[in-house]
Amino acid sequence: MVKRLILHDLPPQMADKLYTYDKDTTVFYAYPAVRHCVGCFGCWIKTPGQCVVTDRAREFCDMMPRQDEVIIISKLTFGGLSPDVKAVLDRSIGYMLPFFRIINGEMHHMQRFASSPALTYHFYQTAGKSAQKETAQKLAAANALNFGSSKVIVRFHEDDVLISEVLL
Amino acid sequence: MKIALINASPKRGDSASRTLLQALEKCLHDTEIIWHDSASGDGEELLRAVGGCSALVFAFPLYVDGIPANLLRQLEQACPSVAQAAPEAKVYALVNNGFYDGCQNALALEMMQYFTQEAGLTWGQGIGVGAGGMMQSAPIGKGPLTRLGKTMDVLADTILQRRSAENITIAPNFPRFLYIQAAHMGWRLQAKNNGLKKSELYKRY
Repeated sequence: MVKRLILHDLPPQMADKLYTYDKDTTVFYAYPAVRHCVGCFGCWIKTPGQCVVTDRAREFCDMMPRQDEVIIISKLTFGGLSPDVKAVLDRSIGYMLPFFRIINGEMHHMQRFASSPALTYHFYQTAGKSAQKETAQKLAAANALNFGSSKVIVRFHEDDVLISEVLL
Repeated sequence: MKIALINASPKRGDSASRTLLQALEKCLHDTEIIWHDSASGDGEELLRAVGGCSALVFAFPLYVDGIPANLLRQLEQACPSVAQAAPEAKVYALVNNGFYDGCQNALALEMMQYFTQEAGLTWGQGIGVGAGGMMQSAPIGKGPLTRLGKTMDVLADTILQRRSAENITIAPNFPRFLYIQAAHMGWRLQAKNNGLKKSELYKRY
């Protein structure tokens, strides 16, 4: 079975449907918000791979390496992720190494793990935001490069996202 | 003219964002400056701080290719009311990253432009600064940060004249391979000071 991790900021009445999906799908609700990253770099130089702040955001980073796919569902916010979803990803940089390498002529982080899960983004409430969608597309590609994911899919939903569209 | 310098680094104390704003402040003569710290707090506090300002200058580090969550939340909360609090304001952004290439900040600058647009304010300019890690080890305006110093002079002039300009991204006056070597040495040294062996930095969990 494909192991999947879903990070989302959906309203509770929609989120409930995610939890009953299957045993290989783990759901991480971005709400209530996790504490935000304070840029201490402890996840690189004190407790490598793990955030030094011991709230539930640690669980997300711990689960990432064991997934085939990470699905991120977020309200499109200024061309990117919502604050709650972003707070979780900000706390996950221990997934990478602090060291650098050059890819396509640019500096990026080296990877801690030999392979990374595929990334799938579902941005919702995107109606009338065509320019922001372009930025979100570029954001997903940049995230994939920095997290070492070789496959990235981005889907946009004009209004709310339907769970049946996420869990294909 | 009242200018808000908004330090949105999530770090307490010294940070590259604070250093950038301090360098800019030195170039902003004969004007009222308001400092606001967005490391924590909410959109209400941000709104109170920027009330009546004609320029809002945000400085923050690039986090996972975008705006750090602490600032993102405050922007989302403040967005519907900021044009009432500061109707004449132009928005400027200084984004720094730990990579050498300033161009990797371009997406975060685009995101700040969408905030500006949704808030009903006017975009001033965005500066994407590479090699943020050098900001506290070399003086801005000299040596490897000569280009950055000139950029701060020009940005200050743009702000004081209430102009808008194209976004720009800059890298340091320093070879990239040396920057990488220095950064790698720095990580290993910090880890050693924390009692870790070199191999432990690569630990898989």
